[in-house]
Amino acid sequence: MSNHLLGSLIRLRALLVKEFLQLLRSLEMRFLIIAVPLIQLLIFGYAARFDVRQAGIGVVDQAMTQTSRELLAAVMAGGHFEIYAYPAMAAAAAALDRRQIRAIVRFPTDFDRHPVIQLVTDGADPNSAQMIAGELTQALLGRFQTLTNAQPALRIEERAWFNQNLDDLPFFVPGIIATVVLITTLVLTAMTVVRERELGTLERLLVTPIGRLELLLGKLIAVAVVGMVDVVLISGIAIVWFEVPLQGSFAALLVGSLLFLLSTLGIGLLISSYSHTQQQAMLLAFLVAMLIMTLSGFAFPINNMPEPIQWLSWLDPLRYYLVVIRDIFLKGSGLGDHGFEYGMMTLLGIATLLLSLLRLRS
Amino acid sequence: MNLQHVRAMARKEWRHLLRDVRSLGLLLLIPSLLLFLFGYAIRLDIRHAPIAIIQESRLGCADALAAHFAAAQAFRVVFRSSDRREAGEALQSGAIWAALIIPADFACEPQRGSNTVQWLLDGVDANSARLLRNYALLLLQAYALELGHQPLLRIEDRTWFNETKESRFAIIPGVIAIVMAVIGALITSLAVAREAETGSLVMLRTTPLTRTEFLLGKLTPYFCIGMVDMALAVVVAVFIFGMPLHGSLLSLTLLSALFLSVVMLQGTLISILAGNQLLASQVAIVSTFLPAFLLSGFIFAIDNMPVALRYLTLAVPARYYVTLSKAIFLKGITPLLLWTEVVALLAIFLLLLGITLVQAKRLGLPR
Repeated sequence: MSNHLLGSLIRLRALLVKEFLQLLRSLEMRFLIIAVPLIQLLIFGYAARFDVRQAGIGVVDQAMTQTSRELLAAVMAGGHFEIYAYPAMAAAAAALDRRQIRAIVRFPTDFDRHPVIQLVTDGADPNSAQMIAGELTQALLGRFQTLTNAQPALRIEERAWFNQNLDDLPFFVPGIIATVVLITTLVLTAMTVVRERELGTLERLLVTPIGRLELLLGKLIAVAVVGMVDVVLISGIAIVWFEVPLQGSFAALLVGSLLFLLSTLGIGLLISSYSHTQQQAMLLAFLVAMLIMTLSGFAFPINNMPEPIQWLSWLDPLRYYLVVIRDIFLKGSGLGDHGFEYGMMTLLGIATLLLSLLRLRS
Repeated sequence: MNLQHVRAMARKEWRHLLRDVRSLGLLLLIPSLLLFLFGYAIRLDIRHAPIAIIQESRLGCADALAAHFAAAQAFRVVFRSSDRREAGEALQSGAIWAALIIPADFACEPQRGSNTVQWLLDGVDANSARLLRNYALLLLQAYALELGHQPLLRIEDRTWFNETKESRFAIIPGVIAIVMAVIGALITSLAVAREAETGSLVMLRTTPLTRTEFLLGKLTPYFCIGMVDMALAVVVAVFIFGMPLHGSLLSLTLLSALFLSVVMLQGTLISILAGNQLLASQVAIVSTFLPAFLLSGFIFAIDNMPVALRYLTLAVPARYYVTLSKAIFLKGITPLLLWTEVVALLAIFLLLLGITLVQAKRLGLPR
């Protein structure tokens, strides 16, 4: 019995060596596994910002009073906006058309008697429009109150927990880790089996004493190692370079990632069991990866989606992984928290792996 | 170039496609399916965000303020309590996104007590937090107005082009660009690499087929499928999501054809350089999906990016396509007004065409 197990382990080792050689043989593949996640993190880190900075604001000041100039100075002082003055509304509207400016602030001629400001935003980009309108309103109202020495009727005092400055990066970094791991491991698993089948090397492997289970195990472990290396690599860069704080435990990050890998490997294998060619595997993997990403709340909150889509997202392993790693990074969770999420990931992982093994046996 | 050769090559590729029903089905299904899903799933505005109301004051006007928040469409009150520690725990566990705290000394008349309420936000999702902040401010202003406080300064807020600020309409042109960028590059990246990997390229070398004929014949069927995908996506956008098409369909079609040619050339180039399907497809996804998603201005405004990245976006074809198609759909502007974008797209097309023709040497086919 122990001999049996030993033989199996030796064969598994040989298989692992083969898989790693195959994965890392070419310079391009090494580039793909190491450099691509890094590039992804860097671009994401600098590009993924919802907040508004340096947006051009057109101003049509038809009042030309002391107050209107003071109010404009307040808007400029924030440093978020660049102000462009236009003599008339038509010129400003044309600039909005060409996207040179993102909003127009207009002080009508009778501003002194009726203090009403017109604010026009570009709805073609609703998120920015809301942000700009919010910030402009706050700046204008605030300065007007100090100018006229009036007390506001009601005041709101706000505090953001976990991320005081409302920085977008700490929200996206866990998302990047998750999507890189998802895309890399899903595609690699989906394609490796089909690739051996398409190139005919699978038959050659099957005539060796290697069992089917060992063959799959070898492939899965190799891909899982690649996935874990990516997790550590991206987290390291995020912490050191982008200074995203890791509040929680690193062990929890590793455990959560391993459990998530169970599902991506399982889904990858399932895709390969449905595909005859690499092209089919690739297209299916792309479709599935997009579905998993969209439904997970990776950039767009699940809570905002219609009900049926929210139900569907219960089946999405990325949904749980995102909760786990976001809370580890920002809220300082440890291994003890998130039992439900760990459980769901394990459940989905085992279910997909079993299902794919059943399908691949035939 | 011999047109007969091109036609023969195209016919061969077409047969390949027809025989592989699964791939063909996926190619036709993926774009409209993803658009459908994205259209429903991506909402950047907030509705029914879970909040808690912590009311330490039992005054009538505190009740009224709480009722105002409870009635707002943006919020869904998960629980009410008079203990602010509960709000902290719920924020920690993620059960709520924000909590309104009306302190014990709150009074609606400033001379009787404090006129300040607290709004605690979960800052993890910074964008949602900023939106919630704006909603709360608006609600408070509306309530102050109701209490009879005349506003000192009124700000009339109007939105142009997409009056209801429907985030779906702003997103759909971007989604079409992303999906088509990836699909276009993905199928062409596999096409040449497959011939190289399975060895059939060697056989083609014995025929009189030239490089240009090979590429042209290879790409024509995929181009046709890509245009069908485009058409399906536009149909889904207009008829299912009720997206307005203010501009002309002809300019949208021409523009889409140009964009599709660009991404297909990109895929072909990757395919020629990569030589095997696994590598080609990974590079194709990473080099099209990420830039189209992040650097096209589809969700994340380009103005916000650091200067170096802003220059990088100039090389992203999806950037121009998103701007142009948004303008055609929502503003009804002719592309001539945005001619710089059209010229940029054309320039990228010509550049890619040149590089592809030079690199096609690697195929080992005659000139």
